[in-house]
Amino acid sequence: MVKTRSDALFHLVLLALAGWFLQEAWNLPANAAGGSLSPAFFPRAISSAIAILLLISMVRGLIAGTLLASDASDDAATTPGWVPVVGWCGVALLLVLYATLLEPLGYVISTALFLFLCVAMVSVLSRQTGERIAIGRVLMLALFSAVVSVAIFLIFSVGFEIVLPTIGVMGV
Amino acid sequence: MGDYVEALGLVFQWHVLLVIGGGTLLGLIMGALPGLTAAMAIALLLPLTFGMPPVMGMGMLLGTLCGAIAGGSVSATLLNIPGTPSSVATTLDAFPMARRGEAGRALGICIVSSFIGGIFSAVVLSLLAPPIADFALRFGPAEYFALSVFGLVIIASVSSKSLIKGLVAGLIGLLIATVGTDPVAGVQRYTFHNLSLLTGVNLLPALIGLFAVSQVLKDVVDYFGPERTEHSKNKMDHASPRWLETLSYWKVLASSSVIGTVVGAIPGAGGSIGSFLSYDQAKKMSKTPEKFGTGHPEGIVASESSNNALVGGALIPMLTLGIPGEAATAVLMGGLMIQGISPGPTLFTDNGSIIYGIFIAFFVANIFMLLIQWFGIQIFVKVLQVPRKLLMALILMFCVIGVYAVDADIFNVYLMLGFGVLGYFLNRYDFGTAPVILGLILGPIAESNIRRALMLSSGDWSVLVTRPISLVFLLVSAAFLFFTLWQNRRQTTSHS
Amino acid sequence: MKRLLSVFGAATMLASSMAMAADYPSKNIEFIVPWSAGGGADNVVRALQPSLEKALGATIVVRNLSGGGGAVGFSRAVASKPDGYTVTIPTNATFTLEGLGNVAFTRDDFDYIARVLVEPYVLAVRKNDAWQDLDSLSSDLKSSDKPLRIGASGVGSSTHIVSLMLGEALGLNIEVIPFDSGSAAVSAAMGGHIDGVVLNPSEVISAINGDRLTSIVTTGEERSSALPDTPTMEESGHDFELSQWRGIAAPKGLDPAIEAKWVEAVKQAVEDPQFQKAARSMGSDISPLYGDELDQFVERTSKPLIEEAKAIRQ
Repeated sequence: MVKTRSDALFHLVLLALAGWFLQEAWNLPANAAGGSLSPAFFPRAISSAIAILLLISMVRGLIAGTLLASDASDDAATTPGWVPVVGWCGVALLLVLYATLLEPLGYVISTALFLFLCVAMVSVLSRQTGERIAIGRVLMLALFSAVVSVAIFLIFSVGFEIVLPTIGVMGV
Repeated sequence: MGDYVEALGLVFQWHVLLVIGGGTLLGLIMGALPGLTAAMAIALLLPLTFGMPPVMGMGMLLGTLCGAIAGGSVSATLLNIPGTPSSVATTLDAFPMARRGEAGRALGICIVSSFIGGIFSAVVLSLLAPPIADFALRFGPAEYFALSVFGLVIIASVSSKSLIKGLVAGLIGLLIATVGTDPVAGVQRYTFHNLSLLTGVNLLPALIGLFAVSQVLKDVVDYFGPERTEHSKNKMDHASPRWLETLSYWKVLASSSVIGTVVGAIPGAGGSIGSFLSYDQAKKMSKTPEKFGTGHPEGIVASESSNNALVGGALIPMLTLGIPGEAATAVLMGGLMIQGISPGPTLFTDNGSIIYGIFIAFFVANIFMLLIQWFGIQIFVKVLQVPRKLLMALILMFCVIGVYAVDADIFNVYLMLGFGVLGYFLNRYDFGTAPVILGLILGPIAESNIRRALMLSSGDWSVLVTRPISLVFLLVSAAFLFFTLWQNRRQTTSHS
Repeated sequence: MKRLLSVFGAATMLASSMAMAADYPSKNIEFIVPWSAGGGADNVVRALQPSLEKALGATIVVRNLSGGGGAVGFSRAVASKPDGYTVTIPTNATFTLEGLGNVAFTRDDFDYIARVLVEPYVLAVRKNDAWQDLDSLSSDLKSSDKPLRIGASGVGSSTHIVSLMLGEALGLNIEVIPFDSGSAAVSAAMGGHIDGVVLNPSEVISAINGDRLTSIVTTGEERSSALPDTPTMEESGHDFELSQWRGIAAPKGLDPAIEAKWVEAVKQAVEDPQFQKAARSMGSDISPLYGDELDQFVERTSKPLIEEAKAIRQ
């Protein structure tokens, strides 16, 4: 694993989160019945401990020189550096979209869309320059997505009696 | 003795055996799919048992339970999707082994270890259930707290890359575990008026997010990397049970089966941490602790044998005391009660043939589990021949449906996504995700029980050291912590 | 003209609602269970399901929405259309959730169709020769000046609230220790870590039959069929009656004609011998109640629970 500047950034993000949790914990009631611990005790203690350990980790990283070391670039990489980042964000966004559309569009349609878009995006991004997109393969992918989503829907709702979201047209 | 003979007659009829086998098969399928839990599989089959004689019905449900636990290790091994907390420890070594092209070997070890663990716990269940149940009853709030401290020490052992970062990850899990209605005073913590958070962060979205989704996100990045291939670059190895290899780790098998059975019998806490405890134990005993986490067979043997020994262990308090330890045994007990049989000490005296029939059915279910997996292993590994970009999309699809199916709550899907992103970065910067899960599981046990213990002692902390079981756990925790630190230090010095 | 239109409008609406009631049910009915599969409420619904389906002539789809200790499922039920195609299973938790103030619905947001099962609360204590019955328990506690440590199935659960109410009614110093579940509380009591539990009979019956816990008193109208030897509070001279119950409710605004169909269906379903066997083995008593009597029961039961739950919140 290559250490990058973002190691420091991630420490800072976690530190901010711990600080936020700590601040929220300050609003919790701190009195406890019968000599026991209060509801605020654990959140405060844990978020403080996280903050302290993160600071120690950052200091050690600074001393070892790993914390701020810059990214070692891959000379062998054939794809430009932005492609994996776009792919990562794309998949994450598609997942959010899938979750948002799951209930309004019903399971079958949203799942077919997700499968199609997810595979299509990865294929397009990983395409070698000059390679063309064949219509046949796109159709195959669309068919695959539709068949898989219908099959899974039937297995789960009929076989395992799990209620999945539907839009009420033809039982899907 | 007469009861046992009669019980044999109840089980060894072709239709009873058929039903047990069917239950095991369904359990395996549902267990292998992420999100479908053992409890759901049993609840699905429960109505079918109403019309069956008790031993036949319970046999089917026990088969489902064994199958579901074993099935969980298939998805944990091949896809890094732990369906239950108890298969998290399996992912630590089985998934790396499968990744380097030895999926057949990893599954082969899983099958044999889970069979042996299951059979061991069946023997213990039929011979030693009452004394173990009495031992489990000695666990009060102070003992549960000490047990959870013992579990938390494992964080040090699973965070091999950086101890401090591992501790941070464990604490993140503990902090997330405080979300929800606080268990003693009923105060809302970090819920922000969200109904889905009232009972806390659901464990399954966290598990699947931290392991499966984060792994796919990493795979997406690697997919565009320099060594891009459509299939795993290693040729697939031969897929079959690995009897000799597994048995050669007989020490690990024995200790993990014992730990699994005994810890599984402690209601509420055992199920989720038993396999972690065994894994940790195996690592401490091992001559090569540094290999753990990189696809080491001992790690798989430890986790899987204890994973299935937990099932027999969990049946002990359920059958002898009427106390179900977790969701799956609770449904099982519901099934028993609908049959008109109330579990508890009277079960042994009043319904001798039925209880022995249940024991025998549990043996039979374990044998079916072995046979079905033996044939199924060839089919399981085919999953890895699916082209990688399709596989990534399909895994994500299964994660979403599985997490949605738990509560039919879309919030859990968003939660899973959040955990997926968190898990990706935690792995990328060497914090690790296994400590987060340990924190999430043990946090509520630790907090609610220390608070209960202090309520009962009117604020006197000395209960933790005046009660023998609690004292032993705390002392052993301290000893283990020093041992792990020493082991880590020796490792790092020998490396440099 | 305007008036004519509105009369016409009202008439068509009435007609269409009558038509809706006449061909009810014409599609699947969703039964929201606000707890996970395999819980007490879920078992009841699944035991009722086959005979209800037969009586209604429609498929019932059980939907477990188990978030927030019932809060998610009940909120979803209240928010759905009162067309009879969404029903849920009300229990005392419906009221305690309101009292604890975490949910937006109140007990008046439901149309209660039927009460099907009741289960009293039972006070059961660990084995102790001085605690044979209510009299010996209270005289021993009063002489020793120690609190009675009672385990409940969760903070803010109805068992928690009933424990506090029992303490007041009996004049005992009861300290409630909330556990994560009923079975966790029972196991702590069996191990002697706490003095006893207040739970429903189905959760303690094994422990009592196994002679590890002693049942002291129940809170029902009548003795529980699961614990025929345990006296009720009324029998012991205390004016206190409160039971856990499980029934069927729809969101407010259900057409009376559809409600009547449901009542008929429930009346048939509770006669089913398979269901009766299941109810018996779950330790519950079949005690159906409909219409005004049911509304009175809801009123009588919900009031003290909501008040006491509000007091816990402080």
